[in-house]
Amino acid sequence: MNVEAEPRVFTTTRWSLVLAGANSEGDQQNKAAEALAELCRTYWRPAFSYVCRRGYSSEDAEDLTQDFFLMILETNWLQQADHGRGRFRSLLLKSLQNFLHNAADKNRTLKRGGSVQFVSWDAWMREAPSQLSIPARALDSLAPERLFDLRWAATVVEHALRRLREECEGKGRLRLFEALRDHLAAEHGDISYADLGTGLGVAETVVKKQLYNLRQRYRSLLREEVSHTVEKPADVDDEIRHLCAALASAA
Amino acid sequence: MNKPISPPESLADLIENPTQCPRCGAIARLDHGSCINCLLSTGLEAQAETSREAFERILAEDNVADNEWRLGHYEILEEIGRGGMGVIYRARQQHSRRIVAVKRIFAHQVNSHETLVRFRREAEAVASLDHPNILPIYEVSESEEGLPFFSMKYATGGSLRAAAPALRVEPRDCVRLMAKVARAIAYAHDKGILHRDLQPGNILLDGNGEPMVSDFGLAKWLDENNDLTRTLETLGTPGYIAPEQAESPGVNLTFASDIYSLGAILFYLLTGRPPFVGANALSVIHQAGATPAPRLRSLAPSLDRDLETIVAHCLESDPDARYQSAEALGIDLEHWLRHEPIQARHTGVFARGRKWMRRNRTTTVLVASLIALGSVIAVMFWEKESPHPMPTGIAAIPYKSIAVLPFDNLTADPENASFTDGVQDQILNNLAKIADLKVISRTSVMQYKAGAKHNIRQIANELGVAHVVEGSVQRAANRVRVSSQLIDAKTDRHLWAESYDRPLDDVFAIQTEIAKAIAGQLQAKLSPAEKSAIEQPPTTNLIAYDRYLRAKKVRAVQTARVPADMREETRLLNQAVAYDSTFLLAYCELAQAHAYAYHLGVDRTPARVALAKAARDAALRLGPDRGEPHLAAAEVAFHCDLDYATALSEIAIARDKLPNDGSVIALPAYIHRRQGHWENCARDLERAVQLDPRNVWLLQDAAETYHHARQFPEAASAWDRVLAVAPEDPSTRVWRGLVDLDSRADTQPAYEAIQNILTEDPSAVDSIAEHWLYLALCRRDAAEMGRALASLPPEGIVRRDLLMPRPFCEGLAARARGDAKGAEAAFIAAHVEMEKILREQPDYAQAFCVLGLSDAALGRKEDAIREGRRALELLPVAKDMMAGGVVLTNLAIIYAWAGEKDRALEQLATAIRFPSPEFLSYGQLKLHPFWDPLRGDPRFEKLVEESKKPVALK
Repeated sequence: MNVEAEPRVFTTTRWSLVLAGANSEGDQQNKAAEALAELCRTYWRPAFSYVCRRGYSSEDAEDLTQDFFLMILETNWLQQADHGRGRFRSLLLKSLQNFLHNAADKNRTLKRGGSVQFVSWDAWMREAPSQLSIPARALDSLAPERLFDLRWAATVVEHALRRLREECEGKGRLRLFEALRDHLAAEHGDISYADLGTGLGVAETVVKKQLYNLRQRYRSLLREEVSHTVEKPADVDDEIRHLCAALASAA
Repeated sequence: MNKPISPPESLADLIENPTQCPRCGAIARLDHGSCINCLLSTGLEAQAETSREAFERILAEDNVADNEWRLGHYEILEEIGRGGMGVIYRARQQHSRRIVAVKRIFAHQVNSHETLVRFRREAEAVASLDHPNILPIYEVSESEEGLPFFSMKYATGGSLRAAAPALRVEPRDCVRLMAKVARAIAYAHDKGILHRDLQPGNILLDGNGEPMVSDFGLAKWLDENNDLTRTLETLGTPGYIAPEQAESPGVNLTFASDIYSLGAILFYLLTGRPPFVGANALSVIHQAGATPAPRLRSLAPSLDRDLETIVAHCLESDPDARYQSAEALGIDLEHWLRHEPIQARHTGVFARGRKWMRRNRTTTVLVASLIALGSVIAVMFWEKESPHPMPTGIAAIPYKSIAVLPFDNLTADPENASFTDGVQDQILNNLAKIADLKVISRTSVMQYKAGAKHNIRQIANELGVAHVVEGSVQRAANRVRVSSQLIDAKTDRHLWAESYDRPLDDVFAIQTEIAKAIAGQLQAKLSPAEKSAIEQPPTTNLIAYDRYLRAKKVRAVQTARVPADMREETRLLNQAVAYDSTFLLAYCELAQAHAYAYHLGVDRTPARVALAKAARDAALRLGPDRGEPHLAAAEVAFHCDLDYATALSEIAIARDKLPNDGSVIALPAYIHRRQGHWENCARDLERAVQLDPRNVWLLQDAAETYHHARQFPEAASAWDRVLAVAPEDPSTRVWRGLVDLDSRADTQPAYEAIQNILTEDPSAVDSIAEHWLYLALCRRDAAEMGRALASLPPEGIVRRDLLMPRPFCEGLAARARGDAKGAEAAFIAAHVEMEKILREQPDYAQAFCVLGLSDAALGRKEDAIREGRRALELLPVAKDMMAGGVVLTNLAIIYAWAGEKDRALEQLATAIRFPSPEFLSYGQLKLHPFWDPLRGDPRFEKLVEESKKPVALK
C-alpha cells in the first residue's frame, strides 16, 4: 500500500485502514472496524486521563470514557468527525472534547452503524497497568490537553517495551531483557558493560552486541507503534516530535 | 464491572522528589525510572531497524538463556515445557541437590500486586495437600525481579497426554488410573480446594506410572479477570471445562465442575478425543452446554455399558445431575473394576451433598438441590416445633402463576449481562402488573443463575408457581435477538416459545409482546389499564436504561446496605434521569434510595429527605396514574416522616396497579410493626414471602420480628428458613446463634458461629462486627473485645437506626474490662463525635441515646438523664414502637449507670413490655455489662425472670 524503501517495516497501518474503510462496505469496512477497535484498546488511557483532568470524578470519568469509545466504535465516527484527516491522536482528542461538551445535555441514544463487538471495558482496564510518574506540581499545572499527550506518549513507549519484552520472553531471553531494559535509551558513556557482563555471565562484547540488538528492535517496535496511528510513514517522525515536545513542556 | 480506579492511577503516579533526566531534562518517567522522553526520542535516531527474524536470530547467538538462572534456591537446568501461563523447568535445589520442577509464571500474566498475593495464598493452600496422587508443591516464592514461581516434585513419567495412546489399549488401566485421580480430587475437595483446570496435561506420571494431579486451581488466580476466550486460549484445550463455566469463568465453579472434567478426561483416555471438539474454544464450550455429550460407545463400541453410564453421569450438563462427589465417582470406578454393580445406574437420585467449605467470596451459593433439601427440612421443622402456626407455603399452587427466571446472555461479552438482566426485568415487571396472575418477585428469581440448566420442577416448587419463563438475549451492534419460552412446570412442556430478531431500539416492544403473549397463553384477564401500562416502555433512552439497570443491580447485590453502595446507586440513578428526564421508574428508585439512606442512618439530614421528596414528586408528575410513584411516595412517607397514615393510603393506591409487588405487601407490615401491631406485621410479612419466597431480606425481617418480640421458637425456625435460602450469610448465622443467647443466656452457639465465619472467610467480618463486639461484651472476654474492636469499620457501628461511633464502642469495652482511664478517654471522644452529629442532625433521637450513655459513663448525671429523656421526647413508643423501644431501654441503662437504681428499674419494667431491637432479653439482662449496676437487686432479678416470656402483643 505504501511506497517505501523497506516495505516490510511498514505494514498497512491501522489508522490508514480506518481511514480507508470510512466510507466503504463489506470486508474493507470490517477491517477498518477491527483496526479502530485495536487502536481504541491501546489508547483508551489518555482519553480517560483527559476526562479526569477535566474535573469529573473517577466513576463518572469511567462511564463517560466508556460511552465515548462506544460511540466511536458503534457509529460511523469518521464520517461525522471533522474531515481534516489528521492523526488518530488529534482526531480522538477533538472528538473527545466535543463529546464532553455534548454529554451534559440532551438525550443520548446509541446511533447505528459499524459491526464491532462491544467495548470490553474491564478487559481494557486490566491490560497492563500504566506506570507513568510525574511530579505532583507538574500534574497540577498541566492542562488537560497536555496530560492527554503525555499519557499518549507514555502509552506508546510502554506498548513498544511490552512487545519487546514478550519477544524476548518468547525466546527464553527474559533475563537478558530485564537486565538491559533500563539502558535502551542510555548513552554509551553511562553504561558499565563490564558490570552487566558479570551479572549475566557473559563477556562485555556480548552485552554490547545484544544491547545494540535490543535497541534496534525496540526502535522498530516504537516506530511501528507510532505508525499505526498516522496515515503515512512519513508522518511518524513528526508525530514522535510532537509527543517529545509534549514531554518537554511538562518539565 | 465497576472496578474503581483510585485517583492516583487515573492520572499518574506522583513522584516525591522529582529529578530531571540528565540527558534531556524531562521529568516524566516510567516506573523503573526510565525517562519517557529519551525512550521516545530514540525513535528519531538515524539507526537502522531490525525485523523480528533478524532480532531473534541475533538473540539466539549468545547463550544468555533464562536457563542459567537462579530462581530462589533453584538452579535452572533446562526448559521442559511451556504453556500459556508459564514455563516449566527442570531444576536443582541448591542445598539438597534434589531435582525438582520449577514453574515460572509469565510476568505479563501477573497484572497486579493483588493477583500475586492471591496466587501465593492459593498456592500455599495447595502446598498443604498431602496425598499420594497429588503432585506435591514444595515451595512458593518469587524471584528477585518479583516473578512468581513455585517448585514441585519432578514427575519423570511425563503427562497423561503423552501416555494416553498406550493406555487406550487397555481400558482397565485407564479406569484404574482415573479412580486414583478421583480419590485424589475427593481428598482435595474435602479440604475445600477445587482444581478448576483438570485436563490430561495436568495429570503427570511418576516413574512407576502413578498419576499425580498437578496445577490445582492456580490458573484461576491468573486468569480470573480475563474474559472466557482468553482464558480458554491460555489453558489450552477447552474440552475438559464444565459448560457452566461458560457463563462467568471462575465464578460458577463447584465441585461438580471438577467432576465433569474427570469424566471428560476418562472419555478422552478411552476414545482418544475429548467429548466435544470444535473450531474454537468458545464453540466447544457452547456445544458442551447446549447438547448432550456423545455416548462413549458411539466412539468405542467395544466398551461396556456400565462404563458408558459412569462417563455420561459425569458429563451431564446440569451439575446437579452428575456425581455429587468425586468420591462417589471413585467408588463407582472401583466397583466397575471389581465387576460389581455401579451406583450411577439409578438416575435421578442425588446423594446428600457433603459439607460445603467456602474458601473465598467468589464461590457460588449452594446448588439448588441442597437448598431444596434445606427448605424441606425447614418446613418440617416449623410444623413440628412451632406452637405458633406459621404459614408453610404449601398451599395449593394456582394455575395462573409464573416465575420469570434470569435470561441467558448469549453475547460473548459478559458486560452484556446487565442488558440481558434488563430484558428479563422488564418482562417480569410487565407480567407483574396483571392482577390475574401470580408473579414471583425479582429478588427471589435472580438467585437462579442463567445459563445453567434449570431443574424446572424443583424451582417451581421452591417458588410456588405452576409455570416458568426462560429466555435468552443476544446483542450485536444495533440488533438484538430475544428468545423466550413458557414452560409448564409439572410436565416440563413448552406451552409457548418465540424468538424475536429486531433492531436494538425495539427491545421494549419485544418485552411488551412477550408479556402479552404469555398472559394470553395462560388466559389471564387483562384490563385496559393493565394493557396500556404494559405497552408503555420504561424509557426510550438506552443509556439511561443501562444506568438504571446497573443501579438496580447494585441494590440487589447488597446483603448489608453499605454507604458506599448507596452512593453508587444514587449516582447511577442520577445519571439515568439526566439522560432521560421522563424516566419515571428511575425517579421512583431514586426516591426509594434516598429514603433508605435516611432511614438506615447513612444520612439523616433534611437535605436527604428533600432529595427523596423531589424524586418522588418528579415521578408523581410523570405518572400520577401509575402504581410505582405511589409506592415510592409510601416509602418516603414511611422512612422519612414516619407518617404512617400517608404511607398506608399511598399503598392502597399502588396496590391496585402493582398486584404482584412484594413491597406493596411488605411495607404495611413494617408500618404495623412500628405501630405495635406485631401480629399483623407477622401475617403481612408471611404474605409477602409468598410472592418473594427467596428474598433474603424479607425472610430476615420476618425472623427479626419474631426475635424482637421474644418469640424464640418461631424466631429459630424463621432464621433456619433464611439459612435454607442463604446458608452462607454471616449475619444470619450469627442471629441464629443469638436465639440461644437471648432465650437461654447461652453464648456458645453465637460464639461458634462467629468463629466459624471468621475462619472460613475473614473478610465477612464487616457484616458481623457489631455482633462480635456485643458477644465479647456478654462473655466478658477482653481479648475477644479487642479483636472485635479492631475489626470495626472506621465509622463504628451503623445499625438500622443507631449509630455507635468507634470511640463509644471502645469505651464500652474499656469499661467492661475495668479500665477506667481508657473508658474515660474513649467516652470523652465519643461525646465529641455525638455532639458533632447532633449539631448537624438535631432531631436524631438515637444520637441522644448514645450521647446520654457517654455522659452517664463519664459521671455527668444530669446531662445524661436530660439527654436520655430528650431522646424519649423525640421518639416516643407511640410514634414508633420499634425504634422507640430502643430509646426506652436506653434510658433505663442511663439511669442505671447514673446510679439512679429506682428509676432504672421502673424504666426497665416499662421497656420490657415492648419489643426491643436492642439490649433487652433474658440473655442480655443476665450477661451484658450494661446491666451490671443493677445486679443483685431482687427487683432486677424479678424483671430478668419476666423477660423469659414473650412480649404480650396486640
